[in-house]
Amino acid sequence: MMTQPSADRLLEVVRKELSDNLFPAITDPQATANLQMVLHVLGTIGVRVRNEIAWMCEEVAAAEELGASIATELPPAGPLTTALERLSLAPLVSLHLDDVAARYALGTEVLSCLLEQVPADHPRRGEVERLLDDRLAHEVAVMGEFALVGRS
Amino acid sequence: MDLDTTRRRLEEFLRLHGAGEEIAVSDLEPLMGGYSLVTTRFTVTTEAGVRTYVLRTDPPTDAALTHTDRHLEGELLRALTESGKAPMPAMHWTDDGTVLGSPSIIVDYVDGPQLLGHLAKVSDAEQARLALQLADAIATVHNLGEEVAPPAFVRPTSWDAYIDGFITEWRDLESSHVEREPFIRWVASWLDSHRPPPAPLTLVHGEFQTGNVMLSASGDMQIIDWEYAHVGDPRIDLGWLQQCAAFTPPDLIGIDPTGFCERYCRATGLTAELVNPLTIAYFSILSGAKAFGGLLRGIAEMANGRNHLVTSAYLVSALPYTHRLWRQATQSIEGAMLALQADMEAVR
Repeated sequence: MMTQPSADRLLEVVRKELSDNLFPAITDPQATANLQMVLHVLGTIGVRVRNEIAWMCEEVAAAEELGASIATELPPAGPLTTALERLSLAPLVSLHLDDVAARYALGTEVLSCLLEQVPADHPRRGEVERLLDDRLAHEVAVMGEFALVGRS
Repeated sequence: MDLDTTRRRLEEFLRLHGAGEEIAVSDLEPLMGGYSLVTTRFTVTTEAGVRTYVLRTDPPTDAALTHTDRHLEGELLRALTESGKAPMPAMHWTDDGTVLGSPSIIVDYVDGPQLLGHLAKVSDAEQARLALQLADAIATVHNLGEEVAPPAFVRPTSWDAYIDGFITEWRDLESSHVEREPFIRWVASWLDSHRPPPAPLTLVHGEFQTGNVMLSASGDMQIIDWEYAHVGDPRIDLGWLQQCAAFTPPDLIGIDPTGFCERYCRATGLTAELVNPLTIAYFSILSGAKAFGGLLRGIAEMANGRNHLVTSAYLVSALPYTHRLWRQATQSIEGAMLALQADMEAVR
């Protein structure tokens, strides 16, 4: 398959056409608001197509590593142990989006269990919080600038 | 539904409600701003004169972002209208959908700007004045007490049960979402372990924000869109006001947080221990379970192909935006609590 122009470049061209040539021609307020929403959504898709496979794989690996390390310090047979077992039983079989996303869901459960089970005064709580902040950084990169359309 | 059909149905409805045969409905205009209901302004001409109203009606099922109960809202608006004390446009009629096509409410039209839009056009000093007026307006609602809420409204058995309800709602929301959501799991645990002192339960608006406040021609504030009203902790309205301001500034509480809280406390008799910037920050997170939960369901329905709204696609970005707000708010509260503890230890 061809890789150039990249998917995000194609999206950028579409966004520019909508923004520069179609947007000024629209006078209906609802249609204007909808087009602003479409432009924003296309922007988020551009960031996702560039990064989401890699980011999901990286986040799962980090959650699995920290989870396995902390699980030894928590009471056995809890939700974290179960979540880690489920993740270990589901190796990554391909880099197709559905396969990566399925494993990402299991990794997310590990992260959620860490957030719920590691007490606030645990010496490694900061590492758990950092995983959440790393995930947030990716989400914010996808979101870009965001202000509610049609609410001002 | 097209506007001509709505017009004909409104004429039929108003005839059935005693407006007489010589009635004309005209000037129908969809109102922008709300993401949940279809809102239409219209003018009624009868022998008695000309008057403008607003029709609030449920959207078609496949175009609905959120689902609330028009009948319950109608009962509350009737009680509030009869009380004559609530700062809101009077409600005149409700319909279960038999005549108007879907459950609907008809209220007075407020001939003035929405507060949110108005704020962008005024000076900083005027914004500060309006902030205090807003504190008085919502205090008036909270002073009505829970007695004004119709019998069909749920009364929490205790303050803790009320808070538990929100936290459970957050957790249920996560477990029923289309994918796992660690931010909700984290924030539910955090809310559970950082409860503020309890305040007396009363009637609350449930979606109090500057987009739901109109300014009348005389400058009075009229609160609209009561679909999320319930009996609860009054700080839920202050928290939601601040949460919404993060999406649609300015933050009227943030202009002078202490001054806003003092004004509100003076008007309600609540103490500064109960109503202060930290407790409002707590409720700014907690309050999201109602309206933000509806938003999340809308996104899930779009993901599953049950709605087709670009709005839902667009509002996917509201999730990370909110996640970031939660992180900032909790860090700010924890920082303030640590500073307070350090001060107390220094005094000892």
